[in-house]
Amino acid sequence: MKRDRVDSIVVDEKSIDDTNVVTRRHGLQKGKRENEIAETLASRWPFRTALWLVIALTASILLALFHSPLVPLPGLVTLLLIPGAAVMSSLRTRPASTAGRMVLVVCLSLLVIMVVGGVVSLLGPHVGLAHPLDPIPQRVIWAILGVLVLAIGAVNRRDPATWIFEGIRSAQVATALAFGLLAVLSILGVARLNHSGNNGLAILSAILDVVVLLVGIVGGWGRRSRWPLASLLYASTLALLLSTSLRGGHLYGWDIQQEFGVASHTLRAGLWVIPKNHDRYASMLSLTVLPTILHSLLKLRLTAFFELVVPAILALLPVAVFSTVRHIPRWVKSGQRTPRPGLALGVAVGLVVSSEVFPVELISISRQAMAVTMLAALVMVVFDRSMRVRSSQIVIGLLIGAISFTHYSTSYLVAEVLLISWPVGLLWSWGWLGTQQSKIKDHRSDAYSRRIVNGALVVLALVAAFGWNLGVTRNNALTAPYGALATTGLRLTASTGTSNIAAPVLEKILVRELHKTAKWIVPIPGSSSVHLVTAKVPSSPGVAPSLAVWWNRLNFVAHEGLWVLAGIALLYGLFKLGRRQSNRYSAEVASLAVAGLVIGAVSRFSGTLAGFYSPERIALVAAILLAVPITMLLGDLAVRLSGLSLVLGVTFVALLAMWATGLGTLFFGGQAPGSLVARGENVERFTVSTPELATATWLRKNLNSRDLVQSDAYGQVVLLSEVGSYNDTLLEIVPPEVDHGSYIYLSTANLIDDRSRFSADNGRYDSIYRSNISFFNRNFYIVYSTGVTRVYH
Amino acid sequence: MKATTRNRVGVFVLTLVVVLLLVGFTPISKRLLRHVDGSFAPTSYSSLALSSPSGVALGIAVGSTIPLTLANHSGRTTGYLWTATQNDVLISSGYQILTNGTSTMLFVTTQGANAGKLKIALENTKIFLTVPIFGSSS
Repeated sequence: MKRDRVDSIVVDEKSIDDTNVVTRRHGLQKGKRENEIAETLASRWPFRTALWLVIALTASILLALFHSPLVPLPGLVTLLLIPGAAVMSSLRTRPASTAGRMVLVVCLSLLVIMVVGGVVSLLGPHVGLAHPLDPIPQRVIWAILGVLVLAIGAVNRRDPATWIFEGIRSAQVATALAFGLLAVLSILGVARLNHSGNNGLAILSAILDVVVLLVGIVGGWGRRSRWPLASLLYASTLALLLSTSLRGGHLYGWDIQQEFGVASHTLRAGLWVIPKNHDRYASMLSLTVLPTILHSLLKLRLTAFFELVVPAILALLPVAVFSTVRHIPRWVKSGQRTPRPGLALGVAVGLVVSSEVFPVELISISRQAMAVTMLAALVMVVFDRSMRVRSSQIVIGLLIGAISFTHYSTSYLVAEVLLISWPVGLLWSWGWLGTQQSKIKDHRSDAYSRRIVNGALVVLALVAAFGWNLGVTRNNALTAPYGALATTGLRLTASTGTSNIAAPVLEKILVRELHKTAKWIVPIPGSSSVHLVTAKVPSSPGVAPSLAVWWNRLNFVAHEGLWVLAGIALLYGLFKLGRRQSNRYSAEVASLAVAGLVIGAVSRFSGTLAGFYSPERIALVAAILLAVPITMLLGDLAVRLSGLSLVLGVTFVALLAMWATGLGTLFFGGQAPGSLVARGENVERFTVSTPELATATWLRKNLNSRDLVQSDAYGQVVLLSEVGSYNDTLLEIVPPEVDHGSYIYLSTANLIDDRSRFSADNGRYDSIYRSNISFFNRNFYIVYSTGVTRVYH
Repeated sequence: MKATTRNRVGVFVLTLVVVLLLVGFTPISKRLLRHVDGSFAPTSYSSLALSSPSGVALGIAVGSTIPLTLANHSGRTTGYLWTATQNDVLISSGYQILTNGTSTMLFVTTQGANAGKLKIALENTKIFLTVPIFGSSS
């Protein structure tokens, strides 16, 4: 009983420092309040968790009786919160802030769901359970787990729900619900854009989201500000993400279609098996067992998982960064004031929400969206001073495991980050970075106790990444990058963008390459006389198109400026450490920042790696790692020039947000994102209409393993979603390279807009050309038609 | 004491709001969507397909019947007038009424056709199929 009390005091200590030292020095002197809390917690049975489960079950049944589309909601909230809460209460640890707790709880719940699904899939068939992911086995399994959570809570005398939600007032919940109106407006905007093509409400919603974020920065600038910035940040971010994820008649984006295909396959099988074809997507529990369990247990549609649940999880990413930078990081004991809430919000918005990939691209890569959120939670735990060292390390270990089940690239990236940051931290701990010989012994003894990232975590990260991907699932995630590195090396180059080439040039390249790689193609006689003609790409005219060049340059400078800022922040930290002001800075802040800059630089300047993992996506990971030193630098600058800092900061963030959301492109002209316009290149590339989905489904059902399908980059999107058993898909429909026996799928963009697109596998070039419909009409028969799509054979 | 009472009232009001939102979601969302002229309903479409694409696409002998699948996803019950023409000459035609979300098989006779390309189209739409026809003696 006594031990329980002490532990409770430790984890509730939020004021000055973390660590057991603080416990001994200050914890027992805290007096009446802590003792009361400890007694309350110690005598608490999991009554609230039990009540929660009963209410959720009752609500689900009642909603089902009313045929409400919200039937999955109570169960979904429960499944995303309670398992993680149970883990955290068992570990007797939790972050200081409520927002941080929510992020961590969701990440750990995802881990629990994936582990449960993975284990029952692997063991089920051996105990006579052929389809363990089907609804009935899942209901039984989760009912048992629910009872187990309550039993563990009773034994530990700790209520998971109370452990997480303690201290939350009804006013805070009401505020969060009110901010939910931003998401509602966003949903209405995208519904209008989908249905009628009118983008007015979608634009208004995006502007409102940006304005709310900027107002939040201003409102939270005062050090004593009590603005509900975490709720504001979450709601605005979610609204921005939903405006993209709900676009079109199916899922929005490229990778997400393939993810949907993998999830559909697992759902149909009722079982996850290690893929024999070494498919990296099918190896991820996040894309297989996670959506399948949510479907089986809660009747959550797969599309709803990708369109609604993944955005809801991804919107936690900036909240995690905000929670990290909102407080003084672990180990910093003097010379640092708590950052202004508005500054913390500005950093989270500027580095994450306004990053080039966040609002549009990342939402269409579900596995990475979830994994990067977990990475942000991991960084948050590293720097959260209210969590004990050992508990933090355990939680970090769990998150490393969760990331490896969620996304192969991010798990390799985490291993790489820890592998870089650990020796840097060691160099500092050993006193090899500017410590005088006479003080090295004291320094080592002092620094040794102040480390979260240790050798065990590095080994764990390596084992998790390589063990899961190469040992257990043996997936092919590294095959292509390794092959490219082996043949071309890093290929250092500063240019990583995709270049657009003229159609005649593309034709020459394709004919030359396919004669070598696809000799089996039997072209239609005379097809070589049909030549490609470059097609004009539609773009938004904009209000001030003459300024578009300057707008693009300004944004280029702004984004490059972020790297410069990150570099200066790191130098500033190293300067503090170098002056042996170890209490004023943290070696872990510096070492993770070094890792962030290294991976950012490698990706930025390696043409080979950029083809597999875009530098913009790496920049987001680097931003998560560099957010703390940047905040500390800006916080110190803002002490002297508060007013000017606010004006400059808001202007800079507004510039980045305008670019990332596409509002700037809409104003100055160019290729606006699909979330803001009814027609345009991004709409055709990334949205899928119902007739297109129907055509892909028809192909899947009617073609067999001997058949070949040809399509272009516009058409390929939906084919990834409806994976057929047909032999192969050749991603180009250039007449000289169309096989006489293939099925040719023409999407709406091909057929109605007379426009086709080719994108090189390595992402180095693409080309847009006219579709040559007359060639197909002359030489093939139409076997399927919806009026806006066709299949030729 | 006052704070506790205030918090309990807050929890009660909040619970009430959440329950009302859950119960009223369907009518509220429908009304809002109608108000902004928005919808997440699938885009309406109709489709025409060869029932056996690999076999039929190799060619149909004159006099044979071509099995087709007509599907209606237009959101309402629709009558479809289909025609089979060759060189703008009508070979056969028919009329089919389909309720929304259903599909049916059509059997198009090729009596009177010559060797060449037959076009089967749904009237007043851009939906059509083409089928190779070869003479019965071949």
